[in-house]
Order: sequence, then structure tokens, then C-alpha cells
Amino acid sequence: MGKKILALLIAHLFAIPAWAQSDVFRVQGSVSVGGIAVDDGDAANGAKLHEYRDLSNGLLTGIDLRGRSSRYWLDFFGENLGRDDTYASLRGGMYDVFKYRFSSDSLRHNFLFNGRTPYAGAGGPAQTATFPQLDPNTWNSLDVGYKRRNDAGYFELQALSPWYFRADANQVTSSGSKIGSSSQGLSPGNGFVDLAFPVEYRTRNATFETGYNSKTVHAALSWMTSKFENENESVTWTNGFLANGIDRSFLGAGNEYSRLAGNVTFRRLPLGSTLALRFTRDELESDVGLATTVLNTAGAIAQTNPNVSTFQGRIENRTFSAALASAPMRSLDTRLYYNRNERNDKSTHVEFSGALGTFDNEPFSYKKDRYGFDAFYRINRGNRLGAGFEILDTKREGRFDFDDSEDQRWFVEWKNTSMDELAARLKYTRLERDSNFLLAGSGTGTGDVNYMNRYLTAFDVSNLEQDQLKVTLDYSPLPLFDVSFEGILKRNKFKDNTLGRLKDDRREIYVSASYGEPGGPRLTVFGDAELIKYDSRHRVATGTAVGAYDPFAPPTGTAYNWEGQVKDRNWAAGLALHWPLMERLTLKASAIYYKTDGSVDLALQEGVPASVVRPVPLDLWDDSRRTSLTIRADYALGKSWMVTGGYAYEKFEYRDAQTDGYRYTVPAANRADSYVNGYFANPQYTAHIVYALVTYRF
Amino acid sequence: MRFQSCLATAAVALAAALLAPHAMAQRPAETPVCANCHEQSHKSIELTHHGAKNDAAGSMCQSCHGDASAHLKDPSANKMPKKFAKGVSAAEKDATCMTCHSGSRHLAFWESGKHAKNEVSCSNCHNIHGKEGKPAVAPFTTTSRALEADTCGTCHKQVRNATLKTSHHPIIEGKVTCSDCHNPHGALTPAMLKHETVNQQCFSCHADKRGPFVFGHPPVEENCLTCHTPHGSAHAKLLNEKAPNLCQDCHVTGRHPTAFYGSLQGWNLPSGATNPAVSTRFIARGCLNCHNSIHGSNAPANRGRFFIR
Repeated sequence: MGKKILALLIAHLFAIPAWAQSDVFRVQGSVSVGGIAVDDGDAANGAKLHEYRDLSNGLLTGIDLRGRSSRYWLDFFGENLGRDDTYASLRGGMYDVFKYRFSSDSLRHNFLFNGRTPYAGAGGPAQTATFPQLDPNTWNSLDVGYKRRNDAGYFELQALSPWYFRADANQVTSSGSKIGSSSQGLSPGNGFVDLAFPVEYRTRNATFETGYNSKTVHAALSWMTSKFENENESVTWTNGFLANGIDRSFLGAGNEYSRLAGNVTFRRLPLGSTLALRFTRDELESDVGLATTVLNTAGAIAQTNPNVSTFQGRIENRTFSAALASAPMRSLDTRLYYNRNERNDKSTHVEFSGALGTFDNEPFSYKKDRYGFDAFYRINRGNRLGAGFEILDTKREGRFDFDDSEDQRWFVEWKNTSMDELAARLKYTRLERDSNFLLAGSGTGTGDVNYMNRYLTAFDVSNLEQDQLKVTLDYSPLPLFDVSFEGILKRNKFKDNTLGRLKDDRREIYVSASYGEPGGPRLTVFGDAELIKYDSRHRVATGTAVGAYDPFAPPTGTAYNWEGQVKDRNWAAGLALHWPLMERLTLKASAIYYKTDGSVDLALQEGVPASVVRPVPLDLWDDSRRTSLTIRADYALGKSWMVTGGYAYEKFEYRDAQTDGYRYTVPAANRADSYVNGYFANPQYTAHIVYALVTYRF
Repeated sequence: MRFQSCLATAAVALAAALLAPHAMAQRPAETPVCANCHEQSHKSIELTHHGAKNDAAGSMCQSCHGDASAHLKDPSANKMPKKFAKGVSAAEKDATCMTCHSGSRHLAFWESGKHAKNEVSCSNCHNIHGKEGKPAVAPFTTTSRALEADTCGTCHKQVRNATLKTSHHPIIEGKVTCSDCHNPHGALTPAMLKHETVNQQCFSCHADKRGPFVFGHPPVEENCLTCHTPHGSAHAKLLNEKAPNLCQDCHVTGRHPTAFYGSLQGWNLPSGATNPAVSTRFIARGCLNCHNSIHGSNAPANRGRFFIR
């Protein structure tokens, strides 16, 4: 596809003189060629450095073309051609008649370099080993990552204005592997293995849209289709715990999605109103043959006895949205809106039965109605007030803990621009959610394990009070000097939760300043500090004693509560400088320091017997420091030639309690050993990047 | 393959270089009259849609800046109105652009969107005359393209900052743009998402997570943002919290999910000594070591029900 685009570009370029005969076609652009060298020699696992970038040593290229006549236009931009992060885009058209675009965008997504695995065929559909294998030095080396490429194009016909027609299509291919894992038995006590799951995906999308555009009416109807194909819908692997039998994990299956959408907007209605309406109707399908056997205890095969041979996944969504935006007075803006969102899961109801037990799926559906009103009133030139109210009503089917929820949200806002050099905005938002909990009567008594279901109040839908305050200030005392401040405080309180998440809190302040001189240096600096906290309570409980499953009962040696508080503290600071040192020489530099510091405080409830081992808090919880510096000089050799030289330094330090002291294996009795592959064990790196480019401008 | 691509690149470069003098030789003899004084402004749009349709009378200049006939007669006495200056309201600025662009399909929901309500004008984002902006703070990237996030980050500063976190979409690498998910020109959806729901938005790229799966995970099916934060996180996979904390916030009903996991469960003890009782439920990816198929599973029976295959 990349070659096709290049060929098309060349053909297009040679067409320029033909156009030029009837019209002046002016072309400007540049071509750059150079190279890049990267030294990350000390990195045990450089995947984080190369996570989304192709930093391999080699050739760098760049092309930027722009052509215009009074009738035609053409843009081409390409960079990193031939590398794993190639980007190429060709756009063009004839004004008011048609336009088009072809593009190809490649990306690599790396997860692990220099890892280890006991498996042969890691990253493929069949991964084999003979266990136990407790000496990692005898394992195979492993890199995990994939390459992704998005080839896209569109064509839009505008010649029939006010009518238009547009077709978009793209194909996304991903090839490689990604991080995966699996328990070996049915419990983590039986050990687990890290796996590298194959990624051989292809997604093809196409959208066709036709519409009518005028100053007063916009209407459009579109149909979209999307097909996802996965070459490997399952992967087999040797299960050491189950007597080296061949086990199987299931990956995302192929699916097909289609959507019909229509919208219409009426402008210039009474009271300065605009009415916008939109509907969508889509369907997602995935048919999966159900496995009738699984690897079971001691390597035996067990029957799963599904009630059907094929699962027919079918989800239909219907949405309708309407918004009436009005300006009934010069100083008043209002909006009345409504969104209906209906998801119907019509998938096969599957039931597995037999020796493994009975397990059935619960297709999940919901209906959401969201409606609200907001208004903004400008009191005078310098002050504007806003307020709004919204209700979201949700009804769910297929979720055992909550069915109905109602979210009520309101906000008030004040914006002040009284002084030309100062703009301030203050916004407060309040959200209250009330949900209908279905498990309040679970369990026969406090000694029944099901009694704990009374506290199974998942935070994503449980009753909530949320307060959010946001302040922004922009101060520009001089034409080329400004200072900005942004602060946010957001608190969620899950008011009726006894166990699980109780509250969370996020506060962040951001300050930046920039200064510039016309034709001289320009500087930006910023600093940011963020604190996020999650508070939760949990209960350890076993047995059938009265009170065992009641979090309000006095603690015992086998039944007690504990609390956790997760804290994420993040700091960032950075600066950027553009400085034309002399007429021919420009310097560009940027430096960033980003630190993340996490911790988890753990505490038992008061009165827990001394026989219970006390939890020890976690100090290393995704602690990282990233320091990056990039500096670049552009030197003009004349009107047409420029040379660029650049250097970048990056250092990433990382420590975490889940990987500190990493050892690849966790030996255990009865072949319940665990095997890991090094993912995120040593992501720290120090890198020096040097590059140079020669650019010809025309 | 790399050699072939480079060869193709060289061919394109050669073709461009050969054609360039030919095309440049045909520069128009006339330039807009406005360019006599405002040369830099003219040059900045010369090869844009605006400039390409300009003429000697500067009709495209006047379509934005207003009738210049009096100004042309006596520039010092008849100043042009400053239609995009500080203090001019967003509505007034937008009205100028809407003179031509109100029929654009991209602006179908402009009046209904949050940007219009918050008095964001076209010129807040679109830099018609290529005025130099503030230098953006960014690490080394392999792209020379201007990042859309730098434009959006002018207002959405904390979001721009989040893209610098350890775990992020490849936004600062230039591979994902803000407008891949949001429609800055207005939408009827919350957060001006391009798709109707958060999940449909995420599935537009992450098609392998679309399902439908035999065994679904309802919070996942309702909203990806229950667990993930899209703009950046200190935790891998853009998670709001790490496992096991995140999972434990819902799974409270006894057995191994409700045990506490602290420094005594890691590879090493707090003293630094090897831990003889490593918890496989805590190390590496925590709960996901076993429950890897957390987005949904097509595995049969309990293997699928508990997302372990």
C-alpha cells in the first residue's frame, strides 16, 4: 500500500504540468534526507524507549510538498519513509468540485525486549514447553510487540453543491504479539504463566455519506461497515500444572459492525435557534464455535456440554440525540438537549453444564435517557454567568447488582474578562447518583457467605456524590508575555458503600508562562502537581461463624476488615525554547522532568487479634522518573539549503513493588510453579539520540 | 523492503526537484494589492486554500477583513477594522468565518457543541496567517508534524500534560490526535466524542475488544472509563489504578480478591531478603496474571466465566 501511495504521488506530480498549462500551479516544498543514531546500550529492556517510536539507527527522510492553482490543490507530506513509523499523506482536489486523501500511517507498539520464556513458539498460535523448567537461563529469548499500519483514503464530491457525497475507507493491519497470561489451574494457587499472544489482526472500515449543506440546513445520511478479522481466535499452550497437557486461551474473535446514521440541523430558526437531530442504528455480530472440551485436572479432558454449538453474538444499538441551541437575547445563550442510547444484547444465551458445573452467560443491555438544559448570560462585557442541569436515567438488564440509576448533575460557572489582560473562569459541578441495589437482602444470615453480597456495591454504578471545582486564569500583562493557571479539585464519595471503594479524590494545579520577542527568542515553562487518592475498605472472611460476613461485626482472627488508601503523586516541569540566534541559525530546545510516586497504605481495623499478620504498606507503586532533553539547531546555508543537527537525551527510571526483585519463576509444590517473562521488570533506560538532516527547499 | 522504500523516496524527491523549477517559473505576475504593504500576511496564505483563490484586488483578503476600498484610497486615514483583535467577541470572529464556512459538513453541530457555548472562536485554533505560537514542551519525537495536542493543549493544559505520563496513547508521538476521538467542531455527545458512546469510540481502534463475547464483563461493556483513563496515567495500560487495587474496589465478596496485598507479598521482603512466600496474586500484573481475558472471554464454562482463558 505504501508503494501504491508513492506511485500515485509520482503520477500526480507528473500531472502538475498538464494542469499548469491551463492554470498557474505553484509548488513549494522541501525534501530532507539524513540519519539517526541511538545509543541505549545499557537498557536491559528498551521496549519503553521504543514503545511507539522506531529509534533504530538508519536513514531519515522527509518530504513536504504544497501545490496550488486557482482551481487545483495538492499536498504531500511524508516522513520516516521505510521505517516502522512511516507516515505519508497525499491530499488534493479541485476547489468546490472534489477532494481526496490517501494516507498510510505506521506504528510499532513494543511491550518487551530481551524477555525470557520457557515456551517454544511464543507469540504464535501454539506455544509448547515441558515443565517444570525452573532455570530461566535455559529459556528462549523473547520480544513482544507488534507493528500496526493504517492505510486510508477518502473521496468527497462537492461539485453538486449543496449536495455532497463522500466515501471513506481504511484498512488497519497489526502483526506481532502482545502480552498475555493465564492461570494454570482454576485458582492462582495453582500457578500462572506469562504468554505472548499472537496479534495478526486486520480491520477494514468503509463509510459512505451523502448530504445536503446550506446556510440554513445541513442533512446527512451515512452507512458504515467495519470488519475485524483475527487469524488466531485462540492460542494453545502447555500447562505444566495440568500434567503438561495442551491448554487453550481464547482471543478476540472476528466481528462485523455496521451503522446507519442520519442527522439534520436547522439554522436561523426563531429566537436565534439551531435545532440539531441525529440518530444511529448499529449492529455488531460475532459468531463463535463453542469449545466442547477443556483440559482438566491431571491432564484429563472434560466435557463442557454447551446447550448450543455456536454462540451468535448480536448487539444492537439505537441512539437518538437532539439539541436546541438558542440565543433569545443578545446576551443570552441557551441549550436544551436530549440523548437516548439503547443497547440490546440479543446474543445467544449459552449454558454450559456437566462435571465442571453449570455456567451461563448474561447478555447485558441498557437504556439511557439523558436530558438537560444550560444557559449562559452575559451580565456585561466583562462578566458571564452560566448554569445547567442534567438528568441521566439508566435502566439495565443482565447486571445482577444494579438495575436502575439516576444521575443528576448541575453546574454553575462564572467567567470574568473585565480586564483586557486577565481572563478567569470558575466552575463548580455537582453530581448525585442514586441506584437501585438488587442484593440488599442476600444471604440467610451473617454466617452465610452470600451475606457479603449485600456490600457488593460496585463503584461504577453505586450511589455517589461528586463535587468538582475548576479554576482557570490567563494573564497577559504584555503582548508577548502570559501566565496561565489551571486548578482542579474533584471528589467522589460513594456514600452508601461499606466495602469496596469508599471515596476518591483528585487535585491538580498547572502553571505555565511564556515569553517571546518579535523575531527573537520565545520561551515556555510549565509546572504541574497532581495528587490522586483512592480510599477503600475490604473484609477477609472465612467459615460459617455468626458475624463472619458482616463488616459491622467485631473482628476475629478469621474475619476482619482492612482499609487501603492508594496515593498517586505526580509532578512535572518543563521548558521549551525557540531562539533565532542569528539570521541563519535557529535553536530549538525542550526539557521535561516527570515524576510519578505511588504508594498504598494498608491498615487493619482496630481490635484484630495479634495472630493476624499485619499488612505492610507499599512504597513502590509505579514510581518513575523520566527526564528528557531535546535540542536542535537549524542552519540555513542559503535560500534553498538547510542543515539540521539534533541531540536528545532520555532517562527513564522505574521501581515497583510488583517487579522489584523479579526472578522469572515462583517455584511451588505439586507442579504449581509460575513462570513470568520479564514484562515491565526492567523498563528503565538511558538513551542518547543523535540525528542530522539536510533539507532542500524549493 | 527498507531499501525499496528509500528508493521510492528518492524517486519522489527527484521528481519533485525536477518539477519544482518548472512550476515556480509560472508564478503569477500579479499579487494582491494588499501585499504591497502586508507582504508577510500575503505570503503566509499564498499557498493555502485562502491564498490560492486570491486575486489582484485581494478579494480573499477582503472576504475576511472587510471592504478595503476606503482603506486603499487612504490607508492612514481609513484603518481597517480589527475583526480578530482581543476584545472582539467569539461570535463576531466566528461570523466572519461562517460567511463562507457555515455550509461545511464539519460544522453541522457547531452551535450545539461545548466550544461554541464556551466562546471558543475559530481563530483560537486555526492560525490563518501562520503566526508563530508558543514553543511546545515535548520530548524527542520522530515526527516533524505539528501536534494537534499542542493546539488543544492551549486551553486543555492538564490534558496535554497527561499525555506526558508513563502510560499514554501515542499522542505526543504524533500517531493519535485529539480529533481521532473528539470533534472540536461540535457534537451532540458528551465530551464531543465522535462516536455515540465511550465504548464505541474506543472500539473504533480496539476492534479486538468489541466482542460480543460469550462471557462479558458488564462494567466493561458499559464504559471503558470505569477502569481506564484515556489521556495518560502513571499506571500501565492507561489504568486508573493498578491491579489488585482497581479490581478490589468492586470484588469484595470474600476469597482471594479480598485479601490484602502489601510489601510482604512481593518478590522480596521489605528487608531486601528473598520472600519465600511470594503471592502470585500480587506480583507482575496482579489479578490479570490469571484473569487475563478481563474484557470478555469466549472460553467455555468456568474458564470463560472467570475470564481465565
